[in-house]
Amino acid sequence: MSIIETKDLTYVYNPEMPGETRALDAVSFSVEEPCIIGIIGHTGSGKSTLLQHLNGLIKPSSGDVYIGGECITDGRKNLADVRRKIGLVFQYPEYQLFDETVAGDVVFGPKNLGIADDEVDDRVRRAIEMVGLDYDEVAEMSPFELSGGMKRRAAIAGVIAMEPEILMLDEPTAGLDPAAHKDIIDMIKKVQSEMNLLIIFVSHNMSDIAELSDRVFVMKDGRIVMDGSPEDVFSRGDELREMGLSVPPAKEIAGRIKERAPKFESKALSIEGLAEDIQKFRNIKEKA
Amino acid sequence: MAFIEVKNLILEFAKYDDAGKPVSSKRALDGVSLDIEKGSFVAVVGMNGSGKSTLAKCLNGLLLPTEGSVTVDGMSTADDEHIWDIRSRVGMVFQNPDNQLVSSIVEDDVAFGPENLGIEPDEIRRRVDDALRKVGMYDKKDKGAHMLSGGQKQRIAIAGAVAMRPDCIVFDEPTAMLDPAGRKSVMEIIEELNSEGITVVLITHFMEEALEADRVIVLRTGQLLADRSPKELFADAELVREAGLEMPPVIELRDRLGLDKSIMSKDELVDACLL
Amino acid sequence: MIRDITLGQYYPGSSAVHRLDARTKIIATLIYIVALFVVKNFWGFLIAGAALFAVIEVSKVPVKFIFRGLTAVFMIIAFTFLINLFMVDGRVLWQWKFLSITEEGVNRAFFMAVRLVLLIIGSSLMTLTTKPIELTDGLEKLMKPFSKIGVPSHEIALMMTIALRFIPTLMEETDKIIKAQQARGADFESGNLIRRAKALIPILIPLFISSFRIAQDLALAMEARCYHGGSGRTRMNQIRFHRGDAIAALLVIVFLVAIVLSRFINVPI
Repeated sequence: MSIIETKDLTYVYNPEMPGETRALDAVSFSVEEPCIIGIIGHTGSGKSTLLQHLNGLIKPSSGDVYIGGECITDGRKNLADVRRKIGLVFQYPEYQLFDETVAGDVVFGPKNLGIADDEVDDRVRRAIEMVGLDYDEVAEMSPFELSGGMKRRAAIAGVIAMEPEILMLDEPTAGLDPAAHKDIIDMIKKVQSEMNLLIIFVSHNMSDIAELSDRVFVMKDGRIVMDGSPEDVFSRGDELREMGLSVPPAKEIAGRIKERAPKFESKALSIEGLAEDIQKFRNIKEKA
Repeated sequence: MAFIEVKNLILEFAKYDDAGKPVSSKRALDGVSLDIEKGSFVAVVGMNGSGKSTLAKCLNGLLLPTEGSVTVDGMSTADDEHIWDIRSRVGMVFQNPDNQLVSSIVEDDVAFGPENLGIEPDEIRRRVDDALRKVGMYDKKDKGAHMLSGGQKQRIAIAGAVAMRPDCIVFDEPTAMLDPAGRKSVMEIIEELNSEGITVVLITHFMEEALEADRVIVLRTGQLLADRSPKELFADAELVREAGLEMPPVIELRDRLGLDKSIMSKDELVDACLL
Repeated sequence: MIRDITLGQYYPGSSAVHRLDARTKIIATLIYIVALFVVKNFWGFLIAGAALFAVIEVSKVPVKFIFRGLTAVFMIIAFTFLINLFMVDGRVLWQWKFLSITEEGVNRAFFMAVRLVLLIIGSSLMTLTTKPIELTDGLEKLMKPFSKIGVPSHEIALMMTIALRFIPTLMEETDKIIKAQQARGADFESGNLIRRAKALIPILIPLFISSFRIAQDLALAMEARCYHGGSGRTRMNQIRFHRGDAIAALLVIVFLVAIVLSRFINVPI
């Protein structure tokens, strides 16, 4: 049984009006195992709209979403149940913090779900530790006193505390400095491996996509136009560039080398892997 | 004399208690000195909280020194008499494309700066049209600002600064909130402006962008950690780590392969790999 | 959706209506609104409706676009209609317990609803055909004589410019915050009044913080662009009266006379 599945999901803005646009156009996919899925696509390609459909924040114009085999779009399903199972972290989630304390903000989700008090405290502690913050240090602090990167992690803890089966993040690293950026990447890896859930994230950063994803969706004009492993997707550099997207730096450099030395082969997505491949290539050349 | 001179700049933000009394102060900049020559391209890097944005706001008198001084073409930013002259010479583009446009319509927003300078209407019209052409947004001049993408809004903000005909533009993380296409177009415009003689100060988190500069200034907790060429900076892995930064991919690969430290661009790297 | 509100939006175009001086349009709109309250019978509304329809035709703004704006204020119109329907004394047509509908009530309710619809369309037509900056410039010029008695005409005009500019931004921000809190299981629809009011806190606090952040960013951006009040400022667009404005002024007078005369028509429908 699939964890999540969509069938011909379509969403039309301003139907029958001058500004009519298809934000989603017959999107179908299915995910069977917990893993990390990365979504790329230029602004307006439908990435955020897709995420908002998956937990029922937007109702599709047509088509369906199934969570664990159950249809959530036929109008019968209680949406509170859906949101318990699927956490969505919006872009710049720190802008949605509101409580006087970090713990008070993180507890908001679980409380809304009606979880018993004694369990709630455990969850809040687990969630705060999971995102790499020190519970005893930050729990009673005002979220507004934290640094940018810590604020973002506190906001993500607010969704993780709901202990969802699927976690979706919209551009989780946008606007952070290199150190805070790396913290978020490490956090996503840790959350996936320790909670064994399905993570779907949207990013403009191709290195992040390459590093984290087991599977990549490429969206264009409301459709998923590529769906495959990062190696497969990023080997189609020309098509990506045509869509205004790019490939990770390692892939780009490898491409340039191959232009000049057609015998050079590298599937590496990271600089580390590429360095090894180049080294091998040079050794072979030297022997020859 | 350099175009902008920063001498022993100290900037403190006071913290107030509920009754409005100052209780403590935080030093955002701590004894920073540097010169910016006319026509140069200077990048400023450092972690969050290192004082980058604070420094940017000192360069055109949006923030005034607690101690030390900032002078633009010999005029002190602390001097009330010169402040409008300084701001018209040192333009600024901010991070958030949404929050810096004043008017709903593109061309009216670009006209805002020149209007404040009291320039004749016909001349404003010329400048606005020129500035919009320069950033490639002339055909969008009568569009609503809220209909544009982030990258397009940022280009309008740049046009707004360009229309004031400044000598220098300070960019405070202009690409942080943009997608790759938007980032690319904004960086191209910045390089173009610099090649036309406008002094550029670029504050950024992206090391690839810092590579484009003539000089990189590295800040850490309000202090100047380094002020050198990108080549010298990225030859010093220890310093880069100490500043909480990362190596641009090209440099990382270069160092992993043990290639020559003078290699700075992808083309040079590819050449070296094939030798 | 909140985005459907057309009041305050501009529909780019170059029709005769678009080209009119903003001051002409502001005064004409004010006169039109006053006229709507002078009207007291069907014939008057017919004239007012026809005049509005003629202006819409000339302006080339799609009728669909204008009507979409009405859906956002439908509740207000419906509420006004019902209040008038039940609250006016007169010849009783229908009664149930304390509720009664009178002939006068029916008339009044219809007239009030039509009046509101015309008023909203009329004023949104002004903003749809006038660039916000022209609108506020026009307003500033019209208020200029009052600045002698201390009315800050420049500041009021600038405040309006900024308000118009940031309405869409804040709408989007609100939409995003609501959705984000909904995704965390927030429920704004059930419970009693106090519970619902409390449920708004997670929306209002981030919204306030966002507004302050926007205000701070904008103030810095304006200062960086040498804004220092209205004195010594020039304008790119100079607004001037043209022949079109004279014609428009004449038409407005004709309209006003027709409206006043309509009060004396006693022909039943």
